[in-house]
Amino acid sequence: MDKSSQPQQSKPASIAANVSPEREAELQRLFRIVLKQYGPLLTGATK
Amino acid sequence: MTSSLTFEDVEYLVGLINAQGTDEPVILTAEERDQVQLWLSYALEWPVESSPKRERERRAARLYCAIVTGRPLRDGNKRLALMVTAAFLIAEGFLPSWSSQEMYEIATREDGNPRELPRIFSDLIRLISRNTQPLTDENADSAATPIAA
Repeated sequence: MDKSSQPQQSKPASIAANVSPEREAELQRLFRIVLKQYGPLLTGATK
Repeated sequence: MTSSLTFEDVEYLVGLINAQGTDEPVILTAEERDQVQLWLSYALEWPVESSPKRERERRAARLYCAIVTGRPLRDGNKRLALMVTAAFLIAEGFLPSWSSQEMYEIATREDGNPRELPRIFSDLIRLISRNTQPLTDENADSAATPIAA
């Protein structure tokens, strides 16, 4: 199968997806907003 | 009240934190998973005390406090508490903007002395109420960048 024709995966393999694709999209949306508000605190970049 | 954030959601969000390439990933062991699930259920599903006024803020305060003082994880409780509390409010349609440090200092004040808990909760609820605003399309759109893979 031509890989270039496959949809681009934005989800790392390490994330266990016990959620539906619709919920996954919603959680990614929530996460982007949280990241915008508190990014460095979540990733430990301020330590 | 139907929970707007499930344990599976929290697990997924933890995966997203770790995918940001942090040096200190948030790890959930089997035992810790049970603890987080318990606290989440308590915070979001048990009826709120006495008054339904500011129920959303009460649940957010309970959620934050439960994780920060219950310490279900060996490491990463502060980040987990911030993540799930903020995600809960955003899922409810509100944008949080409180100071994470101020929130943490209030929640851990008096080293969890049970007699201080009502005042701690009251201060947390006030901090959350004063520092949340309705989520707008503009807020959501400005955060519309891809999650790092």
